[in-house]
Amino acid sequence: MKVATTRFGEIEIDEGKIITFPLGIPGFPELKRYFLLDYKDPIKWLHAVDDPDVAFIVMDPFSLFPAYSVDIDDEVELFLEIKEPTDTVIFTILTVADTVVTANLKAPIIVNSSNFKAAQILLEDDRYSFKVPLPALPSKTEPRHSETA
Amino acid sequence: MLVLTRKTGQTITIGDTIQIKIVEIGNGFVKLGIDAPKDMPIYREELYEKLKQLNQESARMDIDKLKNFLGVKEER
Repeated sequence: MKVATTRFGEIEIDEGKIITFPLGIPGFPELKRYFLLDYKDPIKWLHAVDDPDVAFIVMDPFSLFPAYSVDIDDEVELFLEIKEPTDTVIFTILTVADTVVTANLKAPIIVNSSNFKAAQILLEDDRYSFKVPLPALPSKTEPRHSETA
Repeated sequence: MLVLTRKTGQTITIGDTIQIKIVEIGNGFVKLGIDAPKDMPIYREELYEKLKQLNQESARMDIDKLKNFLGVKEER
């Protein structure tokens, strides 16, 4: 299906890969459907299907924060119908300011990759805050200077 | 707003599905035990407000700022 986005124009997405947030995302209770858009590894966009403006910059938190851990409550596992721990995919939302990029380690996004149900959860863990400054990004892809055409 | 008094160990029932138990009362705080359906997330209000605000900010990121951070040059 075709989806309108303000940042990337109209794009074609696989309907089978739509991620459903049954409760929405706090701040956007009415938007339940999202899709993932690969950007520049390891960065992805978590984009709303039904609002061309709403998109979160997300990434796997563990590559940058190896000590990070997420304790998923039984209630959340039941709610997302997570049966195998390996079905769980975790993302952190990034916030880009002028001089610093921060990761919201306090409230990760949990996706069940077997049924594409997801939720943003709030961790009780006091070690993590809403805005943890990002260390340098690992350059998994080609070196940055090769980007110049 | 309904205001009522409870003692330690007593419970408030809301509808058929929500129960709030007074677990402990201390000096200036009260510890609650809450039972609610799993599709009803429970938050500390100040944290939830903070999260909503941050999400509002994070959902409208300027792609140029991200490009800047990633060191991506404009392809024009």
